[in-house]
Amino acid sequence: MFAPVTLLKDVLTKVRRMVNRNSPPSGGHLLGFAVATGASANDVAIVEASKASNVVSDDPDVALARLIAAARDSEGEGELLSGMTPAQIMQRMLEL
Amino acid sequence: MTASRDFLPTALRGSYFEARPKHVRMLQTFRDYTGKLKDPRCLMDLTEVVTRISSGRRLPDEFYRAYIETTTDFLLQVTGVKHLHLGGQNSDVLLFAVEFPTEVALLELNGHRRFDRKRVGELLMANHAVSLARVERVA
Repeated sequence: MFAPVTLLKDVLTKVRRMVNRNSPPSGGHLLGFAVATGASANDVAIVEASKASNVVSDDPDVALARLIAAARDSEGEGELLSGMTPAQIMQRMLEL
Repeated sequence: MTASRDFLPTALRGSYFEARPKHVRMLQTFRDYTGKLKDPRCLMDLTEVVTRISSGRRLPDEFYRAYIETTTDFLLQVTGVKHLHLGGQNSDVLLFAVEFPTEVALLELNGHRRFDRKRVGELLMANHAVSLARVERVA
């Protein structure tokens, strides 16, 4: 599935702008951009975005795998609430 | 929105949460966009959801949307994102979450306005895709 042309252009514009600022987008950025366009694993947005960063591959599946790997490495797994008492959960939520 | 199935292939798409113990994780991107989290009823409901899922107990029907048996939740079917009602079945405080076989990821609290926007699933996924990918890896 190919994303609508306008959305695809938006993604590439964002990526190129970041590259031009000497701050290539991270895997997380690229994954977010790709998802936002409705891009599939075979979508050119991923390939083009990958080429614009250090996640380079002409194979869309490889590019996507690298993007996801980068994304997984970029953030934690979230805060584990299981094991907390109800009072601890409430306290944690009130701290947000 | 086909990408979502690619990114969350193991997300469970059943209407109800499974009644088996699971880890419940609040994503680093978790936000309360309703401002209602400090409301005692919502706070107690959210706490009950977490403790019931953690211990494998069934969630009461009041947390689920009305007509769940007769209508399709397209957000769930397309993206794997479930939603629960906090503060009563007709409330506008929705807890968005993704259920995996051994983990449940809490995404955000938001209202039905989420459903009023086009491409609601894409917005949710764009906000939380990175964190979800991390949880899915351990699920």
